[in-house]
Amino acid sequence: MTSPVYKPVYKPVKLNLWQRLRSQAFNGWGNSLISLVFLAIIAYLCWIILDWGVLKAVFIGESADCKALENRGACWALIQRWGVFIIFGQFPRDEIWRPQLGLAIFVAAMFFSLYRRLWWWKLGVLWGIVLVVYIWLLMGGLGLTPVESDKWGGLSLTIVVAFYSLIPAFFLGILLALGRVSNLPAIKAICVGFIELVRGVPLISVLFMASVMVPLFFPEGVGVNKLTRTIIAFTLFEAAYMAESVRAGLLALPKGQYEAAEALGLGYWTRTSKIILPQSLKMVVPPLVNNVISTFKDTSLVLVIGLYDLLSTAKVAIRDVLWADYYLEVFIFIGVIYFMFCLFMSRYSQMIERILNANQKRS
Amino acid sequence: MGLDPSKFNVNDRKFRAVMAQVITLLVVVGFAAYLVHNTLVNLEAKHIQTGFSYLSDASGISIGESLIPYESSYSWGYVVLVGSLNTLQVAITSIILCTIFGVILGLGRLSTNFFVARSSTAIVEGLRNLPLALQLIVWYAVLGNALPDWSAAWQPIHGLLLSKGGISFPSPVASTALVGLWIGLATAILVSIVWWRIAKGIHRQTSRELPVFWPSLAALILLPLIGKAFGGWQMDWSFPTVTEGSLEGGFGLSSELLALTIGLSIYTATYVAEVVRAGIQSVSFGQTEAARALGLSKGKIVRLVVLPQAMRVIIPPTLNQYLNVTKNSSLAYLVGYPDLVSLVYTGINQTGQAIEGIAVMMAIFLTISLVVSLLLNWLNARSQLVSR
Repeated sequence: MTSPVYKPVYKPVKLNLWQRLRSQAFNGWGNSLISLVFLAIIAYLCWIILDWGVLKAVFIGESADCKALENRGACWALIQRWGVFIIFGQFPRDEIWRPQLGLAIFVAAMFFSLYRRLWWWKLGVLWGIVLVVYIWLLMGGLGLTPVESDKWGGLSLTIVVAFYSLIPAFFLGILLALGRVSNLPAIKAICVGFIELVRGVPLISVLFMASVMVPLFFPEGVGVNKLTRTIIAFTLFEAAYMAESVRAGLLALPKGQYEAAEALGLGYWTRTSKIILPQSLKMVVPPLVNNVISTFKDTSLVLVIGLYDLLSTAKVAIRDVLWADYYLEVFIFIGVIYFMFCLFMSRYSQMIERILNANQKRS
Repeated sequence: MGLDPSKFNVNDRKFRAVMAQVITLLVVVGFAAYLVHNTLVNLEAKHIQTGFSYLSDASGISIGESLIPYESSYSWGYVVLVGSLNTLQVAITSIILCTIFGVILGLGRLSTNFFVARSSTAIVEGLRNLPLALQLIVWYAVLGNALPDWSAAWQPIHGLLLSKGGISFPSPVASTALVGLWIGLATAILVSIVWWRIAKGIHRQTSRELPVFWPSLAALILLPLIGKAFGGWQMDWSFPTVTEGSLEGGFGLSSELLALTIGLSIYTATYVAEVVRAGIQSVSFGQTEAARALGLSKGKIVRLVVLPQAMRVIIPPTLNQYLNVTKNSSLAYLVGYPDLVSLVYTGINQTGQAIEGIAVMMAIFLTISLVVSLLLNWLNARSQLVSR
């Protein structure tokens, strides 16, 4: 008869806010003093934000109403006047429901992604459909009036640049990573060369290249429009970074997996697609989401080549003489939008990481 | 022996490997050749001059600020040099500042104090999730709008002038006393380093500990003063003053440079903070406990046990961030600071020589990345744990 083994059960002590403050903020003189100073600063900042942003602010009105404030309060009326332009750019106003619907579908899909039943391939199908519908709503055709891409703008354009470059970049990144770890010298050299070249230069220079050099690359008459050129530039740029993330996963996979797959007599592509990639890609979900976040932030650079993304439309809005004084309100407005998207994605990656870690502990 | 039939077998491994590479090479080279051909045809059609000879032509542009003397009659090559120096200046200043802010924020997140930890987390999370371009534009707008015109510059203390144009403060005028001060400072730094190494050597051999910090501090204060006394003690300062039509004297930092440096260093500091935090958390608590059991003091535990192990984790990603700072300094274009990228872009617009301009710019950035990655490899090799 074996005696039962008792494992000590470690339960983290849950403290409520009051206990936490007692033990982490007001334990001893020095700490209490620091806490009070910080509390005072935080309270003061909160008061300024509340006073300026809410109590004295003008929410609805004309620029004359804001003038009367003399900068004591925020002028949110500006958002009422320019908000649609900032988010949807110059999209024809009688067709404005299309980018609005597209954005709604996009945000809904983001929240659907939280639903774990849909992981993994169902999620891919969902996003495939969402992205196709989104671009159809913007472009038109098939029953909708076509809208030229130079009329797109604001957040709807930011989403196009970020996510439509990320998908080809993801597949190109996988190919580059496989090439970089392969033992065929010529392929390896090409992949290493491309990755290091792209990672060595700033994104802005790649964008300049897309705007001044790419037109020279194609024969007369083959015009590639500015948006497509930008998406190609982003694709190539992000592919190099994603390749490095994927490569980390390929290297982290135990060698036994490669050897076992080979011992089964599987060919290279079967091995890679059925055994190597499914395992190594799962490991690198968090860095890949980080790539997505940085791409989303980097889209703000397209303003240097004259595309009207969220940051550019905001800059256009404050070029209006009547509202030029309220630049801070506009930047806070778009800052909140960027922040929400990025925060959502980073929290999402933390969630995936937690769940994957929990799944890996099998004993 | 005749031909070995297995060499041409499609199912042979070696044959397939060779064929795969040959086909890939052919596709890549073919595509490149196609692009080069198109480019040459297009350049011919547009009558654009090719080659790097334009780098010696006079540029004819004016540059807002430059570390070296510059006039518009100077060549394009010289413009590239001005831009590279401006880029390096921004990069180096931002690297120093982002390290300081990053360490403070990273340690703040690890603080046992509830409010300190929470505020650091809020700052890091908040700034990381906003695009750098937006942050730079906001800094520039705030600096440009909140401050008065330079003609009515705000002077909080005598000699410090704040205006839309930037900050000006007094600068010492060249004199023998100044030279003495600098020589004294240089000697003090040298003496401190030499003394530190000697003390380390003695500690290794005899385990006797000699004071390092206080003697060095004394040297750093006393030697410059002695040098200044030798130089005649008298030092003149040039104060910035608003005269008719211009701001004269003193040392000035433009608001473009300020916005860029502040924005870049604070943004990168949030990344450095995460690196520092992860590095310190990577040292297991057992190390601290063991050091405590050996009777080491608190300061020594941090200096001799925790930091050396944390540094191994911290340094590689931090160097990577430094490289990012250098690349991100190209966002200078957004605030109108004449860095390498914006000057090259001006050059491309003026001369039409897009390919050459972009080649020059990429070559410079690649050189910088290459130097940093060599440094990184060297450091990694040096700090690697010797595993048995």
